[in-house]
Amino acid sequence: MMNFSESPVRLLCKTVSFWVVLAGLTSCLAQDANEARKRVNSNFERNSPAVGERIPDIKVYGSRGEPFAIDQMKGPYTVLIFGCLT
Amino acid sequence: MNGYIRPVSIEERLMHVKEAERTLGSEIPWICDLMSNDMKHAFGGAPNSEFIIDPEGKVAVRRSWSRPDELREDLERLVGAVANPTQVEDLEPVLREDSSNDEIAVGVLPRLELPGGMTPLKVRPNRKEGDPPYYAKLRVEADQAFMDGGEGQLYLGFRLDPLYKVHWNNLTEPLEFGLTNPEWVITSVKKGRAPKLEETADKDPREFLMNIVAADRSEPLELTVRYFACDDANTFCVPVTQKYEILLTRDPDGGRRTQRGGRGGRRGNGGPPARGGGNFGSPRGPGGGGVPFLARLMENDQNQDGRISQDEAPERMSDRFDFMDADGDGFVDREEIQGMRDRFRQRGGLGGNRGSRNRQLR
Repeated sequence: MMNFSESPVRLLCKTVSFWVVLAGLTSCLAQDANEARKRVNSNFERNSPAVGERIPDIKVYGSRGEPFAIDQMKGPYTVLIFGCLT
Repeated sequence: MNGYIRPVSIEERLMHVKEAERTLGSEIPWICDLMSNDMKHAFGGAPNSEFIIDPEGKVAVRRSWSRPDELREDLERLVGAVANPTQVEDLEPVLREDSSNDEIAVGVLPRLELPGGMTPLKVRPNRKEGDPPYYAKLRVEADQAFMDGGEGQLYLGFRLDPLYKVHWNNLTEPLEFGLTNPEWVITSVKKGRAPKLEETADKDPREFLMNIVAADRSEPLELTVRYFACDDANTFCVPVTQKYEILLTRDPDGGRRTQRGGRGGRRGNGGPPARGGGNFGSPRGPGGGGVPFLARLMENDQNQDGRISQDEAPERMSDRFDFMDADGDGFVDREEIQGMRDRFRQRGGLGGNRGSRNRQLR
């Protein structure tokens, strides 16, 4: 069990909040991995909010299925990491 | 890990969140994106990106691929260093493989070898309220030739979803599927049946490969699949019928067909994997692909005179017989079929979403 209760991560969490987003897989692992990675990076550069831009107001779900707006992520700084199980 | 499969409903995606919490043991909160992946796309569409957001809700750092070392440096710069930073080795090994299915065989049915550069296609489950879960999930891919020119190979793979802890009971009837194609989409196989295995139960994907020609890709194929879903605890074994729509367009969230089998499981005992050969529809299987479109069409030439008359034309072809009969002699020969395909290609490729079918063909 990963236990943050006494760890430096827990201390860090007082000033930084961490969130993980479970989303769909992108074809980043296509047959030609380098080509696919380039495409993903290119799309990311074009379509993700740039540094200094406000994050988009998206309505999603919390981990128990409750409605969740991403502006609920309050904290001095917030770390957002995307991933999926598949 | 654990062979998870892309969920088909928000309920299943939330089950994935629970699995993530369980297997990783993390206290870090999870957000569950919509099935349309709105959040992922709004943040650039990368599958493992990371962001640092400042107190005003603005992006301070963005990275298309998560890099923990760089993230730590960023956080030290933004909020200061911590005295004893946690290292990866400080964390207990927490990844929890599910070993509850070790008695069920895997690796009994060889995986199909596919051409390189396969592209995932969009698949839409046609599930109604109250229907049973999609215990087996469909994955569809097309080769580059199909994506470029509308003629190539189509892969169908049915994988058991480990969320439901089910297996194939090979004492029951094998999985069967049927395709209903829209006009101007021809597949070399319209019905398929998985091979009957000697092993009484297994978890291997059921895979099929076929030829496909699509003169118009604007309408989906409809697929119906029937199989028995049997849970590992032997509490149920029920016949299931499920339907999908297969859209002939690339799925940007489709990922790649995994080569690994299901999680855990006992390796099969080798020997002949199946009675009746490989998967139906595969190049190795009975009635499988590998037959060019032209040859398939010419199979309708019943009197073997090298051309197809109106009487010999199948229903799908008879509607367009006059269009295909370029010289108007009442017969369609090989040159005219080839000419039709060339005309499609000159219009920018066979199919694609470039407008109505009528505009293309008339």
